[in-house]
Amino acid sequence: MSTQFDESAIAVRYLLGQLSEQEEKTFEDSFFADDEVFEDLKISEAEVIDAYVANELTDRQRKHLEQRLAASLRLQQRVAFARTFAQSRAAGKPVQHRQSHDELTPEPWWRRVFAVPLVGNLTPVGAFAALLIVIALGAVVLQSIRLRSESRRLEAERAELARDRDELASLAATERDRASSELRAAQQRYERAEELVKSLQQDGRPTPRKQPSTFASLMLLPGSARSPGESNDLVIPQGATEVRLSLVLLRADYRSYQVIISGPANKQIQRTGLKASSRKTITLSLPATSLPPGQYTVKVNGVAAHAKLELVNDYTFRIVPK
Amino acid sequence: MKLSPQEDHRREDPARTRVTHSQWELTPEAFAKLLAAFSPNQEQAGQLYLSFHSKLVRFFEWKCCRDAEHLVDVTFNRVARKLCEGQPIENVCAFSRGVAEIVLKETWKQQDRLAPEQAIETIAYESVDDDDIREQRLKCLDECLAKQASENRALVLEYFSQEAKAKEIHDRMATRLGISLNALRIRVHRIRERVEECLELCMTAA
Repeated sequence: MSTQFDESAIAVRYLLGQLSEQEEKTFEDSFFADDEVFEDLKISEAEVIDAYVANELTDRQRKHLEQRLAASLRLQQRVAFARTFAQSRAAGKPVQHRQSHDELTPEPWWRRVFAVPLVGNLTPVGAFAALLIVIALGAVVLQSIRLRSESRRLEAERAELARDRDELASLAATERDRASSELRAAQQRYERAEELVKSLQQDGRPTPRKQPSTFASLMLLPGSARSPGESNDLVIPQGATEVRLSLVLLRADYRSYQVIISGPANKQIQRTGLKASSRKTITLSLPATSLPPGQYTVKVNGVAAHAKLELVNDYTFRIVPK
Repeated sequence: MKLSPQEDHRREDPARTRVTHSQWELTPEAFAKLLAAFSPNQEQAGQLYLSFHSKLVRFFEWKCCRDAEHLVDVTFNRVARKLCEGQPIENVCAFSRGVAEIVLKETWKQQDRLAPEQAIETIAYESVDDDDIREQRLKCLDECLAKQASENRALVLEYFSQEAKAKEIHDRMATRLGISLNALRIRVHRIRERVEECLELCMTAA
């Protein structure tokens, strides 16, 4: 006997005619009065019919049921359904038809869009979704590679800038040494000339009128505006007629430059059309008299297209009285 | 509807009682009184009436009566008539139950009940050997199952999947859903009932 229904249940016994008259009446009173009992009766009816269709009833039970079937179209329809359902299950149709059920059933749109049953059985939508994911991952990887390459490039630029700065520093040091040695040489020449004059004077010969030409030079490095110090002090020696300023640039990207020197009492000296040397240095010569003692600032502007001026570097120096 | 004096006289004769009662037609006013007897609330009255109607149909069917629907109408007609005649009825369900028992006895006396050997011959449902009908039923079953929510469909199919291991499967399902076996049984059969109704409509349309 099938275990789909409980043969001992009162509803089943009622349906199979296994209750006494009094028991029947009591059960009928209960299902008339109680909806839950009635629902249990309806379910038991289906279960008894399933057992009938499966040939699981005894002869007596089967005859009892068939008497009722004969009188009721409704019960006959239930039997027909039970047979159809059993056939469908026996043929495995509910499983096979599950796919067609999915076709017929209006699945929610989000289930249809994201339906990816098995790896080996990807739907077109699932394949498209997988492709999108691959493309997205690819884009992320490419972006990562690009950022890494950008980072390396910036690192290289930074290293180059550091090298340029070191180079300029060494260049400045070299220039400073050269200027110092030139100054020493000039001073030596001046001293020799003085001695010569003295010796000539002692000989009674007229003193030559030719004045020795001397200059004071100062090399200014980028960033000196932010760190003024003694290295930017210039003492113009007596007799020096010229001051040479060597302005070292970090980069010499412009064809020509403008230099503005601002000094005490709002004095300004401007030079334009200056060129940078191959050592990225602008040298300008100024009359010593144009630079009285005091604090000076120097701005170097690059002359870009359409005569547009762009600040390149600034410097400070001080003329110290002797 | 009022009875004529002759008809009134025939009421005394039990043998003619059935004929007299069957002549009484349920008017809209009488039906309204019948409903009101179930509940003063119209909506509730309708639900109670339909529920009781369904119970009476099964009562007559399982008593092996032909045309159970007609017998239910007869029962309700008699109850409505009593209400129209002014008979006080405290509990219309219990009263109707009593009337149904009388109608049942009358019906048995009329020998509408079939002898067992006649039953098999008169089972009128279509033969399952008819391929076309069988295919149509299977097609309707598929369509009706497809109309159910997917979880309900899966529930029904799993519940009835293997008769031999039914108890094991039902226990597992009830545990998985966190409900009792009886609650599972009720849930599954309610879904089955919907599928059955759908299939009959589908077959009628086909």
